[in-house]
Amino acid sequence: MRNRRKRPVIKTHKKLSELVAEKKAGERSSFQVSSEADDYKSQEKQVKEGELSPSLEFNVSRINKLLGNPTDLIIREFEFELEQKVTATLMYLEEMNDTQLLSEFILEPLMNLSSEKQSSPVPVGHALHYIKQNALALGKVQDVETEEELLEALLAGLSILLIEGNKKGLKLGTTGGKMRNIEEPASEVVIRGPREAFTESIKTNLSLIRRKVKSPDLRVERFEVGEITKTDLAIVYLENIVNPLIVKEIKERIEQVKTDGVLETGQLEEFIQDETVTVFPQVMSTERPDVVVGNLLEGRVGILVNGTPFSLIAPAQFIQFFQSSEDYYMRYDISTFLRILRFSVFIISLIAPSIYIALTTFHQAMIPTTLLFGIAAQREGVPFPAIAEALVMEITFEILREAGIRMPRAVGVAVSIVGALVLGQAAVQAGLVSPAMVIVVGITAVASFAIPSFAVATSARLLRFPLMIISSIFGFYGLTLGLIVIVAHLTSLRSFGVPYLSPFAPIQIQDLKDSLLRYPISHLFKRPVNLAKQNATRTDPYQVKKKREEETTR
Amino acid sequence: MKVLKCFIPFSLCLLILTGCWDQNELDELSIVMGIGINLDNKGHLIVTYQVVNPTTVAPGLMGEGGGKQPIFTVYESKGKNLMEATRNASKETSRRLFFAHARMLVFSEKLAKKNIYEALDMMSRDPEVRSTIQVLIARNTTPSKILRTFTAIDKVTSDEVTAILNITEQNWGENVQQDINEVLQSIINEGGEPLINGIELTGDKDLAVTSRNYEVGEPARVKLSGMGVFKKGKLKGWLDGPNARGVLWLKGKIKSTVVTVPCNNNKKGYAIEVVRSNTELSASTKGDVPTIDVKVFPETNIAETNCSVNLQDPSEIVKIEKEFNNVIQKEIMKTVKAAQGYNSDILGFGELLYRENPKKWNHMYKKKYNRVFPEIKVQVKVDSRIRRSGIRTSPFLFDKKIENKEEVDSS
Repeated sequence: MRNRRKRPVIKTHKKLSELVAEKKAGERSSFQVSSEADDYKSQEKQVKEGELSPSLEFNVSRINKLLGNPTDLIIREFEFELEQKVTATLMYLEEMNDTQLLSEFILEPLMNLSSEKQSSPVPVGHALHYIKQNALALGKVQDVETEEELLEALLAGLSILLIEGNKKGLKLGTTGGKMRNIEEPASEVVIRGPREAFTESIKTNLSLIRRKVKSPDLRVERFEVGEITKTDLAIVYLENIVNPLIVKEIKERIEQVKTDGVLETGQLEEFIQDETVTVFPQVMSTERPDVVVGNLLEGRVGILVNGTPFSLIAPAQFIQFFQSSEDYYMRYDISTFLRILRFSVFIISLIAPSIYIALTTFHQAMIPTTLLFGIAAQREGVPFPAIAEALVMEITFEILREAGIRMPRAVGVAVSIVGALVLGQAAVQAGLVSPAMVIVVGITAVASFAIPSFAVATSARLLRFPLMIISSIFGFYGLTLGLIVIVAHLTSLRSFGVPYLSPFAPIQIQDLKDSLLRYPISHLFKRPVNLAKQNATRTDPYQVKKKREEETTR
Repeated sequence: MKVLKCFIPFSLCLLILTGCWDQNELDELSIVMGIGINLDNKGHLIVTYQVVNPTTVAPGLMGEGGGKQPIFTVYESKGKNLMEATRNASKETSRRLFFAHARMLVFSEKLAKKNIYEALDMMSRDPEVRSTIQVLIARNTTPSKILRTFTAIDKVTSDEVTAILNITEQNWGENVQQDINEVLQSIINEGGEPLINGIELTGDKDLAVTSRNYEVGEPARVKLSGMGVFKKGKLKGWLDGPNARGVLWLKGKIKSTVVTVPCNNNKKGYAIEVVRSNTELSASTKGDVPTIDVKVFPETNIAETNCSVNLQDPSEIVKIEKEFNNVIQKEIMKTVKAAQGYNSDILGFGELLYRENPKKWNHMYKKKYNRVFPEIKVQVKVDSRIRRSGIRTSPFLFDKKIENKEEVDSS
C-alpha cells in the first residue's frame, strides 16, 4: 500500500482533481462577470433553492443553463390577453413532442383568448388556473412547482408552459415524435396466434396489454430506474390472482436497482434475478403481449421497460422455456408432442457431441458393428482425437453463428457459403474432420435452434463444452456425473422464491397437466400452485355450466 | 467465489491424475471379428484373429481409402494359454486388438478333441468379449483357414457365418445358434454337455484364401455341418442331418423347417412346412431308471404334394398328420439313441431330472449318471396340426384324375 502511494499515478490523479477544481472556480468567476449572473445572484436571494421564480426570464434562463443551452430546446414566447397582457413561454424538446398538438391545442386557444370573452377579468396571479380550466384542450395537464420536477417533465417529453407572475408552471402531455409501429414479433414467430409485438414505447406496450385484459383487477405500477437515464418501468399483474408476496418481492428488488441506466430488460434481469452464477435464465423475456397476458392469468408478474420491446415475466420455471404461446392455440395432442420434442431437442443440443465423443473413445462396444466400421473408416486419417475434432467443429459453428448475426445483410450470403465449406464436405475432404462429426455438429446446431426460448438454448450452448470435455476424459461415466451436477444445480435454483424445477421438483401433480404435457384446456382448471395461492381455481367450465343450468331451471 | 477458486486447482488435478485410462481413439483399434483357436504339436495354443479393415467395409467409402487393401487381415500368435497368445499378438499388430465386436469363436477339431474348457474360460472371463459370440468347431479344416476364407456376399467371414447360422436356424433347424453363454450354461447344467455347431469348407480350398475367391463362379464356401457332441469337454462325435434336428425338436427350438412325409408309394411324398412348434418335457423319477415324456406340438402347412390326394377331405389331412407324427417321432428317437450312444447328455435330461426331484438326483443319479443316462426311457408323443395347404387345396394332379374319371364314367 505504501509503495502504491509513491507511485506517480496518484500524482496525476491529484493534478486531475486540481484541474477540475480550477475549472469550476473559473466558471464561477465567469458567472460573476456577466450581467446575467448578477441578475441570477440577486434573484437567488428571493427564491428558495429549487423552486420556480415568478420571473419568467429568470426561470427560462436558469433552465437553459441547467440543460446546457441545448439546441433542441424550443422556447416559444408569446402573449395572451386576460385582465391585461400576459407573457407566457412554452418550452419543449423538439422531436419529442407532437408539434401539431402544441400549435392546435395550446398556442392557438391561448393566443385567441381575449378579455371580452371572460365573464370577469382574471388577475395575472390566477392566470395559470384559469387557462388550465378554460383554454387548454388537452387531457394531461398538471402543475409543476419545483425546478427539478420541471426538468424531469421536460426531459420525459412533456412541454412546459410558464406564465409571467406565476410561481407554478404547467406540464402538458404533448408527448409525441416518431415511434416504431406495432409490428410482427421478430424473435417469437408463431403460425397461429396474435401477430402483434411490443414496441419500444412503454405506453404502447401497456395499451396492448390493457386491450387484452378488460379486468378492473389489472394493476399497473410505475417505477423509475437508472440514476441517469430515469427509465420508465412498469410492473403489471392481476391483483385477484397474483401471490402478493411475489409482487412485494419484485417491487423491493426493482427499488433496490441502483445503476446508471437501464436500456434493456436484460440489464434489469441481472439485477433482479435470484442467482448470478448460473447459465440458466431465471426470468422469462418475451416480446409478445399475449404471452404476458397468458402469464398474468397464471399469477405471474410482467415487467415492462421503456425503450425495449422485450418484457420480463417473473417468476419463471424451467419448463416454461419449452412452452410456446402457440401450445395453447393449437390442439392439445400436437402441443404435447411438440413440447416433448422440444425438450428432447434441448437434451440433444446439450449432449449430442458428448455422446459421440464418449462412444467413439470409450464405449466402442456400444456402437452397432456396421456403424462402427463406418465411423472407424471415417476416423481413419483424421489427425486429431475425437475431442479436438469436436471442439474445433463446435467452435467453428459458434463463430459462423456469431458472424451470421452481426453481418450486414448484403454480406450474409457470403457467410453461409463459406460456412458450408468450413462445416461441410470440403472440411471432410481435406481430412480435417470426419463426416460423422459434421453430422453431429449439424444436428446439435439444428436442435439448438428448435428450442423456442433463446435464453435456454444459450445455456445448452454453454454447458455443451464442459460436458464434451468431461466425457472425453471419463466417457459416459463423466457425462452422467455432469448431468447429475446440472440437475442438482437446477433443483437448487429459485426464481423469486418459486422452485425453478417445479412442478417436477417439488412435484405438483395438478401442475404437471400443463408442463411437458398439455392437457385439453378444459382440464386445466387449476392455476399453478406456487403462484396463485389465494385464487387457485380458474374459471371452471363445469361450474359455469352448472350455474347456467341452475339459472335456466329456475 | 472462494469455494469456486478452491475447486479450480482441484479439478485441474482431476484432469491429470485420473481418467483416460481406458480411452482409445477409434483409429487406434483393430476390430477383431473372428477368433480361431488351434493346437500345435507341442500342445501350445495357436490363436488366429480376423481383423477388419474398416475403410473397405464401410458403406459409401468404397475405393476411397485405397482400392487394393484387403477387406480383412488375419494375425496368428502362439502361447501357452490364451491370454499369453493374445498379448503375444501385439508383436505383429499395429493397433490394439479390440474384441467387443467379435462374432465368431472357432475351435479346431484337434483342440476340441483335447479340451475346450480352458479356452472357454478366458473367453468368458474377458469383459471385452461379448457373451453373444458364436462358438463353432472347424470340421475337417483349421480355424485359420476358415477365418482366411473370402466370402462373396457378406464381406467378412465371421459376419457371414453368424448370418448363416441365423438363417439356417430359422429355416432348416439342423443347427442352432450356440453363443458362448449357452455353451457355458449347458456345461454348468446338471449332467449337461454342450453341443457345438461344426463348420467346414467346401469347394476349392486353395482358392478360399485368395481374394479371387469371390470373383470366380464356383468359389470355396463356408458351410455349417452338423453339431459336435461333447463329453467332459472333449469332442466325441457329430450329429448330422435329421439327428441334429432331433435335438432341436426335443429342446423346442425349432422355429421353422421342412419335413418330408412319404405318401402311399411315393418317397417324395409331401413337404410339410413347420410353422411353429412347442415341446413339453416331463420326467418321472419313480424307480431306478427315470422316464422322460416328450410331447411335441408342431403346427404345419402343406408346402408341396407329390401325391394325388384330395386335400379338401379332412380325413386325408388327418392321415397326413399321422404320417408326419410318425416321421418326427422316429427322428427324435434316433437322436436320443445317438446321444445315449455317445453317453453325452446334450439333451438336458439331467437338468430336467434335477428339477423334477432334486433329492433323488443328488443322492442317486448324479454320481452314476454315466450309467443312468444311456438307460433313460424316452416316450415321444407328437401331436401335429396341419393348418393350411398354401393357396391351393387339391393338387392339380388330383384334379386331372377326377376329370379323367368323369370322362370314363360318362362314356
